[in-house]
Amino acid sequence: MKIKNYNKYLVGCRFCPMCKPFGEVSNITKDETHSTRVRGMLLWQIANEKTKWDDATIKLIFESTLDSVSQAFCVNHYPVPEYMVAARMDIVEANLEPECVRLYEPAISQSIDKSVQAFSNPDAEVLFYPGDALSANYGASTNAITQVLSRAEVSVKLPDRLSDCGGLAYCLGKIDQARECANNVTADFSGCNDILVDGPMSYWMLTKIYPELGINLPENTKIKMVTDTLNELQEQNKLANTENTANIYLLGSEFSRLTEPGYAPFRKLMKSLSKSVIESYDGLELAEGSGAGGGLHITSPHLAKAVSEQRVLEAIAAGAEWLVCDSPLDIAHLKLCSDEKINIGTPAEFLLS
Amino acid sequence: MKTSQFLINQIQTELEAIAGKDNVLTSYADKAGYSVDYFWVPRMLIDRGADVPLPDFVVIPNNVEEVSEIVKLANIYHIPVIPFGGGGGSQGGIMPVYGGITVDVKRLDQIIVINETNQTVTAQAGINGYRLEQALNRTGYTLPHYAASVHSATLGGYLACRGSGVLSTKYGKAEDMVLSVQVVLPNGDIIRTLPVPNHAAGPGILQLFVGAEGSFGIITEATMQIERMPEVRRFQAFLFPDMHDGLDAGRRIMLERLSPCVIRLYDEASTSTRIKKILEIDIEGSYMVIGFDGFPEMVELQEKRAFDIIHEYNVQDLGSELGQRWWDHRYDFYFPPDVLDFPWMYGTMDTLAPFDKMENLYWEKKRAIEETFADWNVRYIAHFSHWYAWGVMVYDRFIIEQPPEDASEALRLHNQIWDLAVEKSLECGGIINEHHGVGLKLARHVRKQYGPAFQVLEALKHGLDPHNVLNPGKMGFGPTT
Repeated sequence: MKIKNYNKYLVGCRFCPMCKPFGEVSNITKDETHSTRVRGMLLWQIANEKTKWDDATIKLIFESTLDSVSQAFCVNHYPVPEYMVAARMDIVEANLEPECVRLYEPAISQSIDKSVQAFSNPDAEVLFYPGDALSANYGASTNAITQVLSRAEVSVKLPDRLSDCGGLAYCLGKIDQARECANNVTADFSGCNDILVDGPMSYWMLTKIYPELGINLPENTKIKMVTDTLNELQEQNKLANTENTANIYLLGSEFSRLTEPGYAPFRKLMKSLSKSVIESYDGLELAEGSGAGGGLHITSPHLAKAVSEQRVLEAIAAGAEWLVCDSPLDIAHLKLCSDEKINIGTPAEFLLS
Repeated sequence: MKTSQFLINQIQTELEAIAGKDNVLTSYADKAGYSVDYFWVPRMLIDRGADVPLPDFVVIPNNVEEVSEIVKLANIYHIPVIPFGGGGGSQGGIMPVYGGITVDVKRLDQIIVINETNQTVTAQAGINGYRLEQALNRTGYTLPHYAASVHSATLGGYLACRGSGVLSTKYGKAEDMVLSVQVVLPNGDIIRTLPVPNHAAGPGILQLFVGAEGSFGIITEATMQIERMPEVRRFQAFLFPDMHDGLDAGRRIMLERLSPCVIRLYDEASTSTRIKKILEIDIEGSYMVIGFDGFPEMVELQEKRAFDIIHEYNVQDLGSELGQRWWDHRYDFYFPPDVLDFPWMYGTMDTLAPFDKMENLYWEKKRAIEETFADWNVRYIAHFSHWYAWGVMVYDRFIIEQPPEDASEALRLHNQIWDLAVEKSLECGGIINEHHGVGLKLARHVRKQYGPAFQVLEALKHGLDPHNVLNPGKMGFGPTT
């Protein structure tokens, strides 16, 4: 069992309530069993063969984001998302996963939308990979990014076909599917060394998870987040004037928190785009996400929707006119759930507004 | 009397009718999660793979009316109701030792009003302590109840256990901050205590429910006194050669009524272990941190008088940085792996005594525990952290690094240590507990503390809850009948 590898942390989490103020799902349901503490206790019992998987525990493990916010709050940063994924992998390996997980299929490969393909310059050195938008089926994000880059005279090419980065499959514990995705993506990148990704999930997969899966991109491949490129363009005054005073609420996302740069590039960009940037009271590092993190929108759509609605309410209560997140997956999910009470978008969408 | 499966099914149907099907939980995963809090015993049972007492149902009501209906239902069937807040208790107050219905009040989490004219907040009792504080801070206020359990505890939990925070020396304990409460009585009636600062209309009903741990009623709402965020809050650290002088200095500061928000004095054993590790300083002796807050001019004056007193002793001034570091890291002590945790056996035996009795109490307890349980290499460590006008609390702990593996044997040893600790506290002029409550852990000692006065509490319990439906087995009261 993979969770046995996390026993040291499960021992710590099993009785520890310190991160209880945080947790996208537990803060909606108020159900103690949705806390990291109780999950840790149940997983410890299973890892140490005191109990076995049962339907309720399996449901609980999938009825959650990866709770990276717990890891962020923990002073010793216990790897909650890692052992959550490990637990899901164990469940999938034992063929005990819920039906929605069993039925989940990543977008293995798709051709690029023609309107987007128009921005593609086959001679460009940088390949733009909109993996987050693909997983979310959110073409508007890709469209916005390519338009912004084009206006700033940044030339990128798009791959002939788009393959899912496997992020959601990985989060759901479907490691074989994630590996297949990784193989497809690396094949799509063939011949390109500079890869620009559209969001934190793709970045996380390419830089951290693919190597863990034993799938390595060519040695001299450089992966860059579009947020970094936008920051560079802003520094060169190629994006927007800095007189914008729109109240922007910055939303955290699970995948941003899991990447090494974290929120720093996103925060820097948005602060340069508006004089009025609002973060949740605990700061972006401890901000709860949209509910799409970890695949909750697949395993428990009603809970994920409730999480999204809560984030929108918080943004409105904070006086925001815009809710912006650097994760296209989260934005897509928020838009599905928000009833258009507030403007919602990625930084690129905000720039085009 | 064992409840039959037929009855269990019947009660489940009725609970679902009250709170909704999705809000009545019956799986092992759900019930186990609600059976373990900070109390060492259920954790040990889980750790050893032994059975932990489980409730028959967990219910998450959506409003106070549903809480009332659940309690009324429990009265019909004579089954226990165990209120559950944040699971931050250390005394076993949430242990469903007789089964029954665990009622999680966390959905009652709304702030009803922050009244700036009266400087009060009225909130539902299920609100998380950290979240409540955050909401108050946003408006420039604070509920200065910074308990170690603030991340998990609820407002109701603060009150149910007469909890204390690190600033209690200035701002008081939970029971000092509460102005009125809404309570669901054991018969299901919903009542409110008087919404005025004080009265002479008979004994205070409010304080009957504060500290009753859900035995007299379930607190569902409270109005608390709040404070403006202080303009300054500063800390200074000192190192005394031993705790004797530190205790004397602290006593004098309190008698001068200098109103420190914090005096925390660690004994030599704690200084060389806990403080050394968390603050990353290599010191031997007795570490004291003292803090003042409020208007800068007043703080300056208070600091000067207090530091003058401290400097009369053979003390090393460690400066403000090491005081501030303690404040910044005050919760780090409670995160794994630094929190006291398994495989150790441990217990916090906080007690309170007048100044003239405290030092003797400390040494007598330390000697008794370390000598009696020497075969187990027991360690006794302590700090003094909640200071009063005429006494001080000792937050003393025992630690056994290699307790018995067998669950029954471990439980027996645990109880023996507690029995001795309580006996010594009472013998030396202390009490059974200062701010964690009684729960199940100390239930057998309550009568010893109160003597014939316990009949007052018993009569109240009998009058309010003739069948012992609310939280049976806690506070020294018996099972549901």
